Amino acid sequence: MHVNREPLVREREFEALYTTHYQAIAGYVLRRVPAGAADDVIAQVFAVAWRRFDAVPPPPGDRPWLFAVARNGVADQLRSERRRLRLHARLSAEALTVGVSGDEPSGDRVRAALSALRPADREALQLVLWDELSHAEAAAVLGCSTNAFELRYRRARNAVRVTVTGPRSAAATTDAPFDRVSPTPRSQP
Amino acid sequence: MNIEEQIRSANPVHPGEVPEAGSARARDTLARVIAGQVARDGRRPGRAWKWTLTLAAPVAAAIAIAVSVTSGPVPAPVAVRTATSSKPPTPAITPSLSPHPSPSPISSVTARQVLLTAAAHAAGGSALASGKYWRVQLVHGLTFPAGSAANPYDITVLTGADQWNPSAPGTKEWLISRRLAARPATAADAAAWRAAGAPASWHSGQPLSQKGGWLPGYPLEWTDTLAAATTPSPRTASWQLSDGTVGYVEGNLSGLNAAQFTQLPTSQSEIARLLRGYYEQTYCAKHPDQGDTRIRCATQNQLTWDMAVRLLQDPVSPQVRSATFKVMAALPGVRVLGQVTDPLGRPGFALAPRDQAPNPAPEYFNPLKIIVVDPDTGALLATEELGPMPRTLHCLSVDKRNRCSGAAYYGRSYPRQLDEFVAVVSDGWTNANPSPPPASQWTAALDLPGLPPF
Repeated sequence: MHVNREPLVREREFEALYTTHYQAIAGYVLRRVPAGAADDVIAQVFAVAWRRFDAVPPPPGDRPWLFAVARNGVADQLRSERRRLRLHARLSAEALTVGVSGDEPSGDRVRAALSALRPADREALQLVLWDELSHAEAAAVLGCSTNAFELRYRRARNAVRVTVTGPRSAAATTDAPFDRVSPTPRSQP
Repeated sequence: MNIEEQIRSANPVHPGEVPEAGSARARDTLARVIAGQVARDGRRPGRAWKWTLTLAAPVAAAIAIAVSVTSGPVPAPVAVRTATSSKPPTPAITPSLSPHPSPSPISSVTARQVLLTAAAHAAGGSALASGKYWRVQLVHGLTFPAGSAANPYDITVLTGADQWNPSAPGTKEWLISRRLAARPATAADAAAWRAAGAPASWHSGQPLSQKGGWLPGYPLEWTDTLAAATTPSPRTASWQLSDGTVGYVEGNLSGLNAAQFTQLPTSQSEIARLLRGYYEQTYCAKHPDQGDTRIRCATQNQLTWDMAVRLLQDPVSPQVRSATFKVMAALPGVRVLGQVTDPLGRPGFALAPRDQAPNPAPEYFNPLKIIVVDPDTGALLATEELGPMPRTLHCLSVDKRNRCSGAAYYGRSYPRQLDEFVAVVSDGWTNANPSPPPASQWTAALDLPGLPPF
C-alpha cells in the first residue's frame, strides 16, 4: 500500500527507485530510440513515475510498471518525432541497427528478421532477451497473461528462426506446428 | 548458437554501454525529473518549442521564394495568398547565401509595439477554419562545422518538410520531406569554402560525441554522422495513423484535436489563463518551497512565452492568434533584437523574452532562442537559435574500433551565430490530398498498435 508521503521522504524513496531501475530503463530506451533522444525519453519515464509516485506498485511490480511506461515513452517519442517533423524521422527500425558495426553477418540477419516481426512480437523477444525481464514481467509490460505471452514469445522466436535459418532447419526444432506456417505470424489478440 | 542466443547477441546496446545510475548523466536526469524540468515529450520545457516546427500567419499561406544561391542580393519574397486554394504551389526554396544579417538596432520600436501590431493584423487574417488536413510546410536549417583546420567554415543543412495532419483520427498522417541543397552558412563561410576547393559533399565518420559519450543539450542531429551535399535529394515520405490530434499545444498533456482548437477562448485574459495553466502543471509551481538548489525553475512568464510560441503554430482562429500576441506583448522585458530578414529572406523583427527558460545545467549548450515576426501580416516567420557553436563536432574517419582517428571538420564560432532555424513556408487547413512520392521512396511507417494512453 502506498500512502501520501511526506515530500522529503517521497524524494528519497523516489531516488531509491530511480537508482535501482535507472540502468535497466536506460538500456531499454537506448536500444529503441536514437542515442541523442534517449536521455529525454528516460527523463520522461521517470518524470511519469515521479508525478504518479503513489501509483507505482511496490517491488517487484515496480519494474514492469516502469518498463510499461518506458514502452509508451518510446512509442510517444517516435510518434512525436514524426508529428513534430523532426525531419528525416528516425524510426524504430533504425534503432535496431544502431551501433552494431563489426558484428558478424548473422547478426544482420537476426536484426532483419526482428524488424519483420509485428512490433508486439518483436517486443516480446526483446524484453526477454535484451532487457532480461522474466516472462511474467514481460507479460505485465505488454499487458497480457503469461500464457498469452508464452505463445507470442514462441511464435516470434520461431518466426525469427525460420527467417534466419530457413524453414527446413527451423521445422526440425520448432515446438508448435503452427510455427512452421508463416515467417511473419500475426500476433495474438 | 541457438536462436535465442543469436537474438541476444544482436542486442544493439550491450550492458556495458548503458550508463550507470551513479553516472553524471543519470544524476542530471534525476535532477531534471525532480525539478519538474521534463516536458511531456521528455525534453526540457524551455527547449521544446524550438524543436517544434513553426507556423506562419494565415495570411501568408504560401510563400514562394527564389533566391540566388551563388551571388547577388536577397530578392524580395513574393507572398501568394493560397489559403483556400485546393492546390498550393510547391515552393521552390533556395535560401539565401547571404549571412544571417546582424539585426539593425532600432531604438524607436519596442517589442510591445511589434507584438501589438502583429496582434492587430493577425485578427484580420482569414483562412479556412477547418479542413481535411492541417498542412504545414517548413524549411529546417541546421549549421554544421564542415571545413578544415586551415579553412574552417560552416554549412547549413536544409530540409524542406511538408506535413499533412488529418483532422480525422485513424487516417494517414503524412510527412513528405526532402533534403535541400546544403550551402555555406554565410558569405564568410562561402569564401572559406571556395578556398577549401568548394567541396560538393560532406560526410563524417562519426560524431565526436560518441567518443566522449554525450553532447549535453545539443541538437540531436549534431550527434548523428554528418552527410550533406550541395545537390538536393529526392522526396521521401512516411506516414502513421493519426490519433486526430494536431498542432503543438497539448492541452492536458494528451494533445488537442481540431475541434478542441476551435473551442479555445479568444480573449487576451482567457488565453493568458490558458497559458498560465501550463505553468501550474509544473513541479516547480506545485512545490515552490522545495526547489533543489542545483535546479533553476522556469518562471511563469518564461513558460508563458514558450507556450504562446507553440500556440501561434497551432490551428487556431485569428482571434486566438491575436490574443496570443497580446499576451506576449504584456510579458515584462520582451526585447527587440532588431530588424532582420529571416532565413528565407523575409523581413521581420527578431524578438526574445527577457530571459529564456533556464537550462537545468547552465554549462550546457544554451543558445538564445528568438522568434522572427512580421508585424504587418501577424506572421510568425521563423524560430531561430543563436549562439557560438562548437568549432568541431564530427570526425572525418574512425578506426576499426569506431573511435575517432585523424582529422575532424572545423567550423567557425562567433556571437549570434545562427545555429538552427525553422522557417515557415506556409500553413493552413486544406481539403486537398497529399501527393506523396512512390512507395519505393517511403521510409518505414511507425506501427504503434493498441498503446494505452499515457
